[in-house]
Amino acid sequence: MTVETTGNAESVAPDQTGAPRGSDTAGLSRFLYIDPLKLALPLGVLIAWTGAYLLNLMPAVLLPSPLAVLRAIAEWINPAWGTGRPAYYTGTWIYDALGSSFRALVGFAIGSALAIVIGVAVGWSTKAERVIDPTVQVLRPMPRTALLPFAIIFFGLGNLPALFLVIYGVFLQVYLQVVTGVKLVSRDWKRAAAMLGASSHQVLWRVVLPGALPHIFVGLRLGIAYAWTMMILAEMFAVSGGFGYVLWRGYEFMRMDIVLGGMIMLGIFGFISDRIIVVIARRKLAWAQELSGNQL
Amino acid sequence: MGAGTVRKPIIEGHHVTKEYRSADGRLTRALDGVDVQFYEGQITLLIGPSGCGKTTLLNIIAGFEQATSGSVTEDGVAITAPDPRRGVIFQDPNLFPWLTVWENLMFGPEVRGTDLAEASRRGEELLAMVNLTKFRDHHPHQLSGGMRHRIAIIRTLANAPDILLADEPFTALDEHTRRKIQHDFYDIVERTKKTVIFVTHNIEEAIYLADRMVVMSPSPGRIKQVVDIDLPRPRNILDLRFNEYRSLLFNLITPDVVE
Repeated sequence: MTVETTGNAESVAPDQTGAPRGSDTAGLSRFLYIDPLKLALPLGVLIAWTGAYLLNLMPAVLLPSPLAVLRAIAEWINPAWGTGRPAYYTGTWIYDALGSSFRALVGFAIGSALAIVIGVAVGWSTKAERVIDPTVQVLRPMPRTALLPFAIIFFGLGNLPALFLVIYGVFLQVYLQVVTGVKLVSRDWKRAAAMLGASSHQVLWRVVLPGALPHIFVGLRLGIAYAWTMMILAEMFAVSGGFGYVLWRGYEFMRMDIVLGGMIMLGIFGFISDRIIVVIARRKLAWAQELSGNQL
Repeated sequence: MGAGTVRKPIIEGHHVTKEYRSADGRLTRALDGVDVQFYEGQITLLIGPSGCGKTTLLNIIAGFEQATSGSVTEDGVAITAPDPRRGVIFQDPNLFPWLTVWENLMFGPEVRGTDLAEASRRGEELLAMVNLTKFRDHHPHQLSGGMRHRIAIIRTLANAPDILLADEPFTALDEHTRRKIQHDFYDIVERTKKTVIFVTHNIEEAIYLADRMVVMSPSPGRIKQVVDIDLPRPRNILDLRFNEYRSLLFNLITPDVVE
């Protein structure tokens, strides 16, 4: 015995204003296709930079040519590609890359995990909020740079103070998004779940966490950027190795070519780690993307 | 389900009062000493203008809110929390967007740990009943409004609740879809002999569905009158007697509408 419906007229609802943005090209062609608009700004900067160098707008020691920067990076990676005069950074790239990545990524993982666990507790329980939140909110605006000397005092030199700084910075960043995401989960979803027979625990796991995921992913993207930033800061004094270390020593020696090279390297690594999170977010948040008609 | 058969009240409210304190400290009485009974197997409508407390009363019966004073009981037992026995159909379908239609449907049986084989069988039946079987692996955002409402209804029904509480569930639908779904809803209720408490502000919808109407007035929320609807089923909105009831209710409710 079926209930009569409106038949043909009722089909899958059409998209509001066409397909979600960004999904026009599919599959392999998407990787091979280079969007000219995305290259416009970097290209523009490169041209302006080269122009400024050629016109000698600043002394070459302060503004090296793009080629000089490229040579510095090459020398950093492989001494055989260098000019023959070894610098403090010659051939150390792989160790710097591994060291920096370790500090930033492991710190990010730990900091995010802590932020999610504590943030969910604070968003979910008013008691937890009263105990934990005021302290965190006071810590948040405090300058993280001021923590560097303390980190060295307590943890000495090496990876430990760097990890501490990264975890601290990432935690404060991700925590806020997690708490907000948990608190803003629709009350009607929670009521529906309770009415359907879910216990408090089940409501948290099956409704609140999935519902808070969009905010949590924003937190993770912000957090990964902070991870790299804090790592650079730590490598100023606490660690003798890594991208940040190379960069800061470059400043001291007035080697702007390697300073720029270090910055570019950080930009690349930061970009890649952010993109990984975005790709994961796109899969996990398919429902939110389709709800808004936009791709993350 | 005709009038005249003796029924026991399955849900009772004794002197239910609900007060809210607003941000500026003022006390609002959403409900003021409401005494009301709901009978098993009957469709009761709560109707009245905005601010009459009908949704507040429904929320208290559902267990989402607590009365400030007075008691609300189900089979004599005080209601303190939501329960699958009192299934709710919300104004918004409230489907979980990260789950498919089928996963939404099976949410209740899954969290309660009921026999999944049996629940699956019932789920398939319910899907077929609303003609949405081929959409079982779709996500809610891929469905139209009317379809989402139907899924929301069968999601609540999948738990086999004794009582259905509906809070203006069809308000957001266009007129044609709305009439269709009112018809479908009545069919389901009639076949399963469920007890229904239905909130609406729409007089025609109320007369179409109700065995009995509880008319409420606002500021503070009180019961104005209880009206038994003595019309044959299925209801015909073009019938003369239908219109008599329409006039009766219009005259009961309109004076209370606050500008």
